[in-house]
Amino acid sequence: MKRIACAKITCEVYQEISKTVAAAFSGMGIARPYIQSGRSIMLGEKRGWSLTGGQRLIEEMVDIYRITVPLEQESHVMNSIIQAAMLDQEGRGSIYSEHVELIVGDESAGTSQTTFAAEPPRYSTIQHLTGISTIVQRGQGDVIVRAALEMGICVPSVTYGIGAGLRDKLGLIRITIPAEKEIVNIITTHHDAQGALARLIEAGKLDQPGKGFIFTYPVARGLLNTRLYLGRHFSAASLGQIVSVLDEIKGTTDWRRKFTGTSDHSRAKKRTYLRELVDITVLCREGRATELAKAAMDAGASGATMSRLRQPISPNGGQGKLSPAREKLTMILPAAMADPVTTAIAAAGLFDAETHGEILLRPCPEAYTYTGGK
Amino acid sequence: MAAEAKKDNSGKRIKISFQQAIGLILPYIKSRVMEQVRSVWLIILYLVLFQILVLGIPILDASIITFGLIMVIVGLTFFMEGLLLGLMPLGELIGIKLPQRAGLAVILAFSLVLGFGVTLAEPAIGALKILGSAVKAWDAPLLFLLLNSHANYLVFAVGAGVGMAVVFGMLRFLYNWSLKPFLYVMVPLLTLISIGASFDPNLLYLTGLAWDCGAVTTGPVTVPLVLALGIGITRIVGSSDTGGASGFGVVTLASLFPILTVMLLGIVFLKNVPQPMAETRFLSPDNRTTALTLFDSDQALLRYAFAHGGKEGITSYFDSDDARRAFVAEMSGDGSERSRIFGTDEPRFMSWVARNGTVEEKMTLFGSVKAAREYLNTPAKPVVLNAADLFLRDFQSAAQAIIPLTIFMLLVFFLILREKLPRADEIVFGIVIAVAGMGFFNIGMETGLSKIGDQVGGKLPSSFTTLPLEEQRETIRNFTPEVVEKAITVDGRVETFFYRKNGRAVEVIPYSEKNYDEMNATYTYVPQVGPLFGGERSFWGVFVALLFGFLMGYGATLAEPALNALGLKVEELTVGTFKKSFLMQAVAIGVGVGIAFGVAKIVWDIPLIWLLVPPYLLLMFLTKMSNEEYVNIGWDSAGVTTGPVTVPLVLAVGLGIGTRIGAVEGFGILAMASAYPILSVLLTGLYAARKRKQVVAGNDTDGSPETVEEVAS
Repeated sequence: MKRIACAKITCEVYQEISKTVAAAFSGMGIARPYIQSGRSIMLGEKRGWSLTGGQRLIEEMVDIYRITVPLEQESHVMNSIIQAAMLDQEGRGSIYSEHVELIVGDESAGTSQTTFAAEPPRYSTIQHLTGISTIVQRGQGDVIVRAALEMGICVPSVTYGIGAGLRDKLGLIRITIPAEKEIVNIITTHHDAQGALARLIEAGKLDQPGKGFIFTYPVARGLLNTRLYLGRHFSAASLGQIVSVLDEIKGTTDWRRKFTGTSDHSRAKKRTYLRELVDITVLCREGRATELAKAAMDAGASGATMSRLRQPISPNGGQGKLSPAREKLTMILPAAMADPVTTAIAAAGLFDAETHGEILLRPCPEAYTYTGGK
Repeated sequence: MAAEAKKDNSGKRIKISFQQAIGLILPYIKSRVMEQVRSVWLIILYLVLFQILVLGIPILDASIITFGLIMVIVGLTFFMEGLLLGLMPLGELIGIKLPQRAGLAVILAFSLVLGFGVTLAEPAIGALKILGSAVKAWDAPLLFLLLNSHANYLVFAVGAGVGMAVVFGMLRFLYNWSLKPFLYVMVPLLTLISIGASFDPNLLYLTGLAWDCGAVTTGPVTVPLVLALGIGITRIVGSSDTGGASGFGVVTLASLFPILTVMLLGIVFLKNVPQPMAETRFLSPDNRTTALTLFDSDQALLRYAFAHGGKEGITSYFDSDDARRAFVAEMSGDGSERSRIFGTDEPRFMSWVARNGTVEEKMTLFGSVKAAREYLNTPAKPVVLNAADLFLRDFQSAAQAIIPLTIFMLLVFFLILREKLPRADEIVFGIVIAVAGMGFFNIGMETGLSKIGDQVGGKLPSSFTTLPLEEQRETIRNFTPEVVEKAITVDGRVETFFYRKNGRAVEVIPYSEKNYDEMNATYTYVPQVGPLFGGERSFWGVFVALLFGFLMGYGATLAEPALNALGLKVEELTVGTFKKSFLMQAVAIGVGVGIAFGVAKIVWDIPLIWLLVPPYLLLMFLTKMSNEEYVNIGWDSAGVTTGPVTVPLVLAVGLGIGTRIGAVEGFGILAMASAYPILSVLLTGLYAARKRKQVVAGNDTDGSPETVEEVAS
């Protein structure tokens, strides 16, 4: 087992641009990024006959690319992708990086080693960001999405997952409990995170049993899609364009702070967040996640969310038994349990040739879910 | 296992109380049942209202039909859940493991066997034979041959077609081929063959059957399995750019290849059959050797002649009136000889004599003319619903459709892939309830949905033509022609009628001399309905029939389990951006339009070619314009639509109108129901692509309402 501190770069683009991004990655020698399908949502005018007015959700498919690179190459890789996909323009996609710990089995394995043909231009990115992930029942995601969009933070993205936990210990009766989840991911500024978290908990009624789970994670820096609204503009530039230019000039988003002071909501004050947690993300070959999740839960993890990813095999082959079908397992645990759980997962065969897995560890400063009346 | 022992109770199964279990199970059952109620209420309500309000005809056997409709809902609930828990995960598992564990040859052999096997198992092909029962041997000898004595060859041809389709489908996934070239080659080829076939009267009639075979073969078991398999395989072999909804397209090929194989089969057997000819010529003794090529024996021909032939036809069979009389006399005398020769067709012989025989013949067989008439008037004995029989038969066919297939797949899984089955309890449970669901569904179709469909389908022509209601036939006793009155119509014809007092009400009943029986002083009256609006085949009357066709296609499509499964998969693979409801609406509208055209085809006797070639030409163009994803989904949903709900209902309408109007065959409606949904899905796809371009381009330049979206939402 080897632990490497590295940068995890996530790039989220519309499918129309996806090929450009894939080409940019392979141009840098990163042949096998993880790709997950998701949907990205923005607001639009209601059309046709509508009694209620208001705004409708416009949904488009996005491809979410994830790679890990050595810390020193972080900005170089990000700049290259921004250049290739023209992410400095609004409405094409988002890119952000997190500083995480990568655990691999093989000493020789590790982060993607990149090769650069030319120095890309330097783009100014926003720092001090916080990611907020909300896991809710399939079909409930749009409630969170709408709340996030109406706060005007960023363009949310939704991915699908399957929950594992208590359900799997129930025997066949488990089929009566739906396991399908939607994971809503938003990135906001550090200082807005608290307010946004409270607002999303309210919107999703996450303080009630069985509604879902929400957690935050630090994001080092990023360039986010600010086009929240698609519709007619009656001005020379859209608000989104203006916002992204101001962000760029100021190099920070402090100026668009939305939540001032602490929340005055009495219920929110009483709310106790779970703190000092860690997010363990296991990446492995398709079909192995169930067993690894079981091992993790035996070691004390309370639940996990599984998603499907693909990791293309480069056409020139030579990778033997590698498979493009991959699974991701996400677990939020108290920091103290990180080590026993990682060890248990490794013992369950994470690093063998059949599984070919790796683990990403990232801090998770705050989380919230219904914890009972205690 | 050691880890489990260490921890106190983690890893161990949690015991839950009976009450807790009920608390979990009830909401689960409720949600699943409501889902199916939502998908079938439209078609049920529609059929009932149409019959009661528009046609003004009461529903027969209402209680049995209600039972049947409940069974349909129960059956669909079980079957869908079984698909999602058992059959589809199994298919997907094999799809993922097969390319990793087995070589190309094994994958292709597996595909071939699977494709052939599902065809043999799929019960829908039986539905085509029912439709074929109306085909007369002399009208369309080739069609008759393939649907009757050579029916096995037909099934094998379709099976070979589906097998080839699955093989090519898997090759497509493995080598990342586009679906478009297959369409560009297959569709024009099939169109050319069909056009060529229209020059031969025998092949002309076969064309409809061939296209329908393509539509029918892809049923509720095949589609989800093949889809899941494809989705699994593309997850393993997909290159980086096959994101989103990939894994579709096999269903399309499975709809196209059987058309080719059936037409080829027809061409092979063309030499063996005579040309279509008049009934009298066909049955005449000079033609006997030719006619016998279509039948197994002399006796079979004789039985068929009495079952389907008219007076001249039978006379021609015996070459002279005398010979016929002698035969009838012989048959009248000896009951045992009669049963030996006619077997189960004996009532057909009896009714032929009662209907067409001379007075003398009727006397010898029935004893009196009155007895002969009564024989005809006795309503066919209502088939006693033997619950045990029905249950056994329907569950047997359900088991036959699912179990051998899953055993084959499990064998492949354990023997070739040598894997442990994950979540085996769920998969086995899923397969069991899929079988149960299909059994319940079959019972429900038989006693409910297709019954009411038959009633409505049979009565539908009354919207544009006069239709006697045989089941409401009544005999008025002590009738005397003195009560008959005359009246003049607006266009100056004299018609006769009489009044009948029924309680306090007075009814007007048209009088026709031939229904008056002087000897017994009775008048036989068959109430008539229709046409709804003025004259025969009036525009509005036909319009109602077309509208009915549209709404029936629309409603039935929403209830199709295979389409529901496809929709769920599409929604999941596109992370909710391509909604299941959106796909289903697009497909349902397409099917509705297709069926309306199909009804028009039969009413106005439009050649199938005219209604199939233009949409397919347009489809070629739209396919060229559309992206791969929508081409696959669009063409697949076409193959999927014609499933166990749509097919019987559509066939009932086709038969109802066809027999009323005297069309030779009612085939082709299903093919129309497959062509038009492709159009609607591709059009919505083009709209979605335009919208996507706007999203990426940024400014939503036109703020005008989108018509396509409004139609679909």
